[in-house]
Formats: sequence, C-alpha cells, structure tokens
Amino acid sequence: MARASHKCESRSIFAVSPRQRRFRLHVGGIREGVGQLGMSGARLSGFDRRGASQYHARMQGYTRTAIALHWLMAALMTAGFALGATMVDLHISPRKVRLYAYHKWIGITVLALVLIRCCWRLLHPPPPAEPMPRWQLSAANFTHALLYALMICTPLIGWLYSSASGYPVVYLKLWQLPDLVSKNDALAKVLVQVHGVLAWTLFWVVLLHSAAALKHHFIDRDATLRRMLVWRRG
Amino acid sequence: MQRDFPVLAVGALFVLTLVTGAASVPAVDASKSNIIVTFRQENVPVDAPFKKFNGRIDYDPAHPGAAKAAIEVTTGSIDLGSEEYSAEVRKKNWFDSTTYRTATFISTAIKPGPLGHFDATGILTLKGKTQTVIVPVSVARAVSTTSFDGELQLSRSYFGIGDPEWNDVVDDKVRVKFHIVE
Repeated sequence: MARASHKCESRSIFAVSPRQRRFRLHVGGIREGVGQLGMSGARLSGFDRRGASQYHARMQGYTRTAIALHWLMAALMTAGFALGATMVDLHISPRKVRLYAYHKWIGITVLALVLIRCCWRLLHPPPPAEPMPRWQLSAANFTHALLYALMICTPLIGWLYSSASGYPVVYLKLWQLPDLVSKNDALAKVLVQVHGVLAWTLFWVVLLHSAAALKHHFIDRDATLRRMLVWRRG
Repeated sequence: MQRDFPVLAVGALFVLTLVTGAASVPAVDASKSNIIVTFRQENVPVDAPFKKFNGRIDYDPAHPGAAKAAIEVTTGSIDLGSEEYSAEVRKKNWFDSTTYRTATFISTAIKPGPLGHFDATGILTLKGKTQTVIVPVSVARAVSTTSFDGELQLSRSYFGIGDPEWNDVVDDKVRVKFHIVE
C-alpha cells in the first residue's frame, strides 16, 4: 500500500503538510480499491470521506489528538478531583481561596476539552472495539457514554454552583466567565450537593474504566489499552 | 482601641440622636435600600451586602447644599454568601465586629452639582479609623420616596481590615455601592 500510494503522491508531495500527507496516503490506499469503479481519488464525495475516516480508524487506531485529549483530561480530572476533595475541608485561609480558584480553572479547562473531544470524536470515529463478549461491549459503551455525560455535567454544575453562590469564575485570573444563574443561596446549596455526587460518581466510573482497561491488557491480553498509549503505536 | 472609644461613643451617640430624633421625618427604608461591598479575591469580584444599617438623609431639592446625611452600618451583618466566610470577616483581623460594632458616615459638606447630583463630603469611621471621603451621589425622586445612589472606593489596609497574609489573594481596594431609599 505504501509503495502504491507513494506513486500517487509524488505529484503533490511538496504542497502538503505531513498530516495532510498521511491522510492522502491512506486515501491513496482506498483509491486503489475504488479505482476500478472509476472514481477519482482527487474528488472524494462525502460518502468516500466517511469511508476513508472509518478505514483510518480501523487501520491506525485512535488519532494522536484523541490520545492526547484522553490523557490530558485524565490528568486534569485527577488533579481537579484531588483538589476538590481536599479543599472543601480546609479552614478559611488564602491557600483555600487559591485552591478553589485552581479547581475552577481545571474544571473549566476540562469542560472546554470535553467539548473539543466530542467534536473530534464525531469527525474521527474511534476504532472498533477489540473482540469481546456482547455484554462487555454493552458495558463499555454504557461506561463511555456515562463518562462523557459526567465530564460535561460535573464542571457545568460546578460553574452553576459558583454563579449561584455569588462568586463568578475568573478563568486563569484573566477572563471573567458569565454567570449562568444569578445569586441564589437555596439553589447553591442544592447545586453543591449535586456537584459532589457527580464528582464521586465520576471517580467510581473512572476507576471502573481503568480496571476494565487493565483487565483487557493483563487478562484478555488484547490491544484495548495499548492502542490508547501513544508510545506503543507503530 | 481604648483611646478611640470616646470618639466612637460620641459618634454613635450623634448618629443615634439623628436617627431617633428623626421619628417624625422619614428615615432610611432598609427594606428597599442596600449597601454592598465589592471586593476582589483572585481577581474574582464578590458582592457582599450589609444586612443591617440605618440612618437618615435630609434632602430638600430646593436647597441641596443644606442636605445632611448620617448612615450607620452594622459591620457584623455583612453577608459573604456562606456563614463560614461571614463569620471569618467578623473576627479581629477583619471588621472586629465585637469591638467595632458599627461603621458610620456623617456628612460635613454638600456640594450641589447638576440637577439630581451632589458631592457629599463626610467622615467615614470604620474599625476605629476615620477618613474624610467625597462621594458623588445621584438623587432620584419618586412619588413618596427619594433614592440616593453612589459608590466609593476604600483601602482595606488603611482601616486595618484583613490579615496581611491575605494581601496576595484579596485586593486592597474595595468598592462600596449604596442605594439608599427614604
């Protein structure tokens, strides 16, 4: 495939970035297959593009961007959760106020990243799951859906809580985000409870997700975890 | 603290006289008025209203220059959104509300400006310290009420409000916004 597509690429190789080139390379691979049907690789229809990206997903696993987003968010969520769990019990001090600020910045970052990640995922479908029993597949799909829902809702409710308690979020001390609701003590009391429950649910679901990944790696010995590790990609 | 006490007592007595003496004339309607402190912590603007205050503004639109104002605020009535924080600022390092129960503003001179505006010069007493401030005030008259709106900026450090260890987190400059209806 590589040799064949290299031939196809030779005309335009200087005009494209390495990333575009990679895309063209695998499109080139597809073009070989569809060439007999008389379709030109230079003008791909939407259907072909979709086919190309599915082909891409199968052959190459997760994109580097998807992997980067996954681990960056994992790190941020771990830090955000640890901060959140410790800061609430601290006595009032400048340190406590600072930790709250960092916690909020992390939350807003996670919220922004998860939205980017959703868009990215729609445009770059993840590779199909490794062969596994149907119930495991359903459980994995359900867990993933729950993770996405929690990654959106937990910071969003946190932001709502901040607004309701009369403390706007000033991202990185620079940008004041709009208040989602006006100050409301009764609402704030409910929201802080909801935020806590969501955060703890997220904690347990992340734990389940990690345990499942480790089970696939060490017990099933399949590529489930490996394909999410960027340095293992060949 | 000991030395400040007589000054404070006289001030409080003065305000009290003004307030009680005003039984026949309208006084501040606390239910329709508000006095809100806005401070910044980690650059986050936080509005904290005082729940208890009283006073009186004598204002005759025909003779704005003769207006007089006396406002007394209960420092311990500040609401920071959570009781934990509100209790904190009542402590010695902040308002020291047990020793300095109230903060007062007493006008000394009124300079009329354009229609519905005047500059009120007065003495602000807070945590035993006084400062002469000039506050631009705008007046709006309705059928049975008159409202006075204005804003002034104060320095926490001048009045010794807040432990220095907080200076990196909480701005020294604090804005006080009022909407007084009587």
